[in-house]
Amino acid sequence: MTQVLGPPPASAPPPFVSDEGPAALVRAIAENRPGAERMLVERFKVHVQRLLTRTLGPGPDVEDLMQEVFFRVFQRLHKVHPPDALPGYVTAVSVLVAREALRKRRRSRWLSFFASEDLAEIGGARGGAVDVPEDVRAFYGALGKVSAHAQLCITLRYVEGMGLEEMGAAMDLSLASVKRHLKRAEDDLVAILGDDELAVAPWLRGAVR
Amino acid sequence: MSTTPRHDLERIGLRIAAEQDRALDGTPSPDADLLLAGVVTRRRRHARRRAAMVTIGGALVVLLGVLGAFRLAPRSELAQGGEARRAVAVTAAQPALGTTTAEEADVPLAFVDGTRVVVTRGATADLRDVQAHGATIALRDGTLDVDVVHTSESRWDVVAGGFDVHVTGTRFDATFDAKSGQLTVAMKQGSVRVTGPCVDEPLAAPATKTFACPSSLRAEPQTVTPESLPLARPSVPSPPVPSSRTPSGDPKGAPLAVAPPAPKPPGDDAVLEKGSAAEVLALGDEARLAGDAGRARAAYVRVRARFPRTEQAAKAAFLLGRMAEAGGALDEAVSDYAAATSESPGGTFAQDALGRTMEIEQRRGNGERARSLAEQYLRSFPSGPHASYARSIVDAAR
Repeated sequence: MTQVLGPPPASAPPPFVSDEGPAALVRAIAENRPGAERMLVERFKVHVQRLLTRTLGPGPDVEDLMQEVFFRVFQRLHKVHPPDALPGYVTAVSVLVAREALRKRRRSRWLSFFASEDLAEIGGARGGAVDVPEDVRAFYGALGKVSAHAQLCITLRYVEGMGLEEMGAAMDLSLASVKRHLKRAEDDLVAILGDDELAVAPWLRGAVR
Repeated sequence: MSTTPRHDLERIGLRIAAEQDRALDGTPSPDADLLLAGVVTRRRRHARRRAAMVTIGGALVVLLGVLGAFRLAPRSELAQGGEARRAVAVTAAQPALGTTTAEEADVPLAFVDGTRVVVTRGATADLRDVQAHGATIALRDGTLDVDVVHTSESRWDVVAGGFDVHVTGTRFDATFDAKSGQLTVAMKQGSVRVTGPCVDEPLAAPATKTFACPSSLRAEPQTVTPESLPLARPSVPSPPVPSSRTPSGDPKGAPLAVAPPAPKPPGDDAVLEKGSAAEVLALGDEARLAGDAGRARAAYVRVRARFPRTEQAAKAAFLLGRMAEAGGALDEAVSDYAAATSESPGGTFAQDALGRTMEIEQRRGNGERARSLAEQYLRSFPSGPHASYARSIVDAAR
């Protein structure tokens, strides 16, 4: 009997250069083939960036959160079943990271006793102003007044345009739960937009009246 | 025409998505190497945290063991110098990560939860990634005798040559022949699920089955020489991210340009022609999410051609419809949605397909057609997401 402790054997696996589908990519990463992880990042970074932007709004932390998404994707990649489910899995991890970021923002706001929607946070950047269109700022400002979960439901459905089944897979909810949560989120947002006491962009309020 | 808040939110979402797409198109996405560097940093941080927790946990266990020994031993015994019970530090004993080759005899790997995996004589296996409720074992050649203790959280995987045996609590033998690429699973108790390049099926005791996939689908290790590496390809211009949104009458919501089809990577052909329906659909999803509309469309069309009248074909039709709608090709979208609805009337995307068709017809001014679709929607999906909009169309027509 021989038991060798430590990393896989000395002969290095060949680099991954193929452009085959997700299953081959997952296999290549499991086999520690050079270039495979980079290939995954390259293939999905646009999607992850867009998804985070859709759910969180523009902000300086998107790139940092993208790193967190890929870190978690690699950590649990062996659990993707079947391997073809990789795209959906990346989406689900992105949504999870976005939800945590939304909750963290709300906790920070509560702790700092700021009542506003933190437009500075939405539009701010590393040491410089980011030109965020007014309607985007207004929309995410209004969304900041509903719960993190509601913001996630609204943005995935209406900004990203996900179907209900897709939302269920991304949020790990049954179809019935998705419908229920979405309805509640819609009601919450519409109620906020209808509340004259709250400062909401006129175009946004007018759009729902 | 009365609108519902949901319909208004759709218009708002479309506007926001268009603005965001413009902003994203105008700035390059983060560099992949920088993102990977961030991942590496996180891995190191994570490993340091785990090491610290193991150290603290081990120290606590030792401390508790010592305290427990003092409690058990009567003071008089200690005072008399009698034989005191020694505290025994109980540490979690897990097999080490790495390769095990059973050259002359079986090698048992025993885990703290009672799970036992025997690498039988002549076999080689890698133990990877031990977690709280499971582990992954890569069987390189030979036979494993697996006995997993069932809990509600058990998650074990035996991977071999592209196959994956998912285990939640069962006993079985897995034999992998590295030369032929065949995996034989002999169930003794319970059930597993075996997935692979051409297989996705459950297997329950007392069945024994051998799995083999065509060599074209298996990942073959390649001998790499400088000549065998592909020439650098010209970078494929990434097209504008196709928003899945529908253009509205809002001047700001002008239809997004449909990007010209990008050149197809060489590996796509193998998947398109020989992959399973799920694999081809996944290729399309990946391309769509990456913003490569041409590649995505090719994959979805192929699913429909190769696997007609299947659930996957209906789903591909729905996704083609969404892409067409986003590109402003409304006639094509309506046709694709109709296919999705008729081929899988009870499917979830059938709801969306019918609802979107109804909205397209209403927006185009085809009131009669929209009303007919709305009535059909309310009959089929009375509490669906488009139900209130459907009701508003029917009410307005009265």
